[in-house]
Amino acid sequence: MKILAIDTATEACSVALSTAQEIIQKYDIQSIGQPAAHSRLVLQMVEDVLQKSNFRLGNLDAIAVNTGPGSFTGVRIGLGVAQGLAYGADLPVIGVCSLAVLAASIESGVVLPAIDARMNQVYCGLYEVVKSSKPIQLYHPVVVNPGSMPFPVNKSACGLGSGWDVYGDAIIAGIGHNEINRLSVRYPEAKYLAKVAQQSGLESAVAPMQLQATYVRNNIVESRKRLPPGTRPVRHADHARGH
Amino acid sequence: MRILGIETSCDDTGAAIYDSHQGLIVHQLASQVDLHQQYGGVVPELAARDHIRVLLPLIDSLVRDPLNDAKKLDAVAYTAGPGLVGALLVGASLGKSLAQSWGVPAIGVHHMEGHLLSPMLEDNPPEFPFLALLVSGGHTLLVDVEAAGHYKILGQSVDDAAGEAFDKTAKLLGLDYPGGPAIAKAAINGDANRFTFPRPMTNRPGLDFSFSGLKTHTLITAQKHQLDEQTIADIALAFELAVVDTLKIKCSRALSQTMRKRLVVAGGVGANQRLRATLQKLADQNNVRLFYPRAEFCTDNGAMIAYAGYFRLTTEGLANRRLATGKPAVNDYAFDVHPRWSLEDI
Repeated sequence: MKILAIDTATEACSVALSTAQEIIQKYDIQSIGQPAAHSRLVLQMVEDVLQKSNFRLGNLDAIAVNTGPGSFTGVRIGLGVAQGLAYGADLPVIGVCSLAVLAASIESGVVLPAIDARMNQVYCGLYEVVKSSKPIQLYHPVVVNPGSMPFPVNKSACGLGSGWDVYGDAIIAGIGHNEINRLSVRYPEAKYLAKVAQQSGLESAVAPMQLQATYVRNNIVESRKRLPPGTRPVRHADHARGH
Repeated sequence: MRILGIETSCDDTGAAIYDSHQGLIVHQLASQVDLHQQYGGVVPELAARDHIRVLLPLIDSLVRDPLNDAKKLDAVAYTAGPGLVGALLVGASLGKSLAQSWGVPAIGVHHMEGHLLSPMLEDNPPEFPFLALLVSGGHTLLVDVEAAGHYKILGQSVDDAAGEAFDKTAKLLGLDYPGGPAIAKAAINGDANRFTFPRPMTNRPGLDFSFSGLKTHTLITAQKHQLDEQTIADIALAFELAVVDTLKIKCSRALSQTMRKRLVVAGGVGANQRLRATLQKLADQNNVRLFYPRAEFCTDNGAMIAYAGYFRLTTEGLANRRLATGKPAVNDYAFDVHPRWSLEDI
């Protein structure tokens, strides 16, 4: 299967083209807090991997995309790009969760991927990889305080992702032992996204219109004052600051 | 040339297909008013989430519409600014990628240029040069349009936009959102002799606007009176008359200053009937022709973006000028957006 994989969900931006024979990847890392900069990189990367492999979009079988969790804006850039490319070339899309993409970077074992979710929280889940197979989800993606994992973590497990860099000590304190194997992988990459998409197969593909983001954090207006029912809103001035 | 236009700068998802020979083919709008209502204003993250959820299905319905008989579109235009960054990036990423996939040019359009050119979608479009009054929930601008792409901002609001003042006034009178239509409706039964509100910044020279003092004046008046139905109508009328008269005075000044013989009015407040009638009278008195788009193209919409994109792509000199100024070019792979972007910097 020929798959173009697009990952803009975190600070890293990467695109890969994977076939049965080979995989080509372009990868760049943005400065923290600049996910919008992916808008300058991602389509050039798409063009680069297509040229290098001598494929056109129409020759592909599917487009894979990292649907998050991660940076909200980064997730939507990935979705928008995957939708636009897939719709225009009449291709299906395969959405893969960023934590599964991180998990797919190990050969085998139980893995606890954690992505920095800001606001003293991490996105995490629990996965098992058996001999480079598709990661099996043992616990679904959640956003939690790093010290309160909602699942037990075995001593043989490994930990990876940007959440470990920022909150490693808090995670260790929470799971109650320090025998976890911490790996240096920080961000999801398109080549592992492509690998999971290959393992998932076309049966997991959907029409580009049906693609959905995996935000995980959904209480984004919690801190805002909700108005009593029947009260009317006023437009923000943000829209006016253009000049 | 047949072009797809995409608008996602604030809380309306709009898309349209425009044809250079046949005019507007199809257009659709998905408004988010209900979504933001409970939070008392536009929540940018919620706006962006809604845009990405509805945009491709909206585009798909236009492409498949029986009225769109062309097999292939020739270009994609998307709003590149000004607006909310997360919302803008949805239209930009999807629009640019779709164009790349189709192998056609993509162009980032200035939202206010879209409004400014929206009367071009009608049967008797204005010729250049003209004076434009752009009034909406986010903008109040007087622009001198010398020629295609040559814009000079003569005046703008130093605080609230006119539409914002309508919304806030409607809220304090207990009227519906959006405030423009609600105030206009209440004002029908108002007594013009009961209250007279100030015309801000008209007693001194210049073309800038200010509406926050008028809003405060309205608030004080409302607090001093029992808000029965008649009083609400009287206040609504006094407020509407003050805004309309202020806009008329500035337009009149700008017309004498520029000697333009055509006046374009666009943006959400441009749909206000009293404003249209008043400006028509002003135009007749000064031998000026008044132009405005139909009401549905006064608010944010995809049709004006499709037209502005077509205009940019085909007007000689404009496409090349974009490349020279380093703004988003027609044929590269970046899709930068500009949350703050002056009409004079296109």
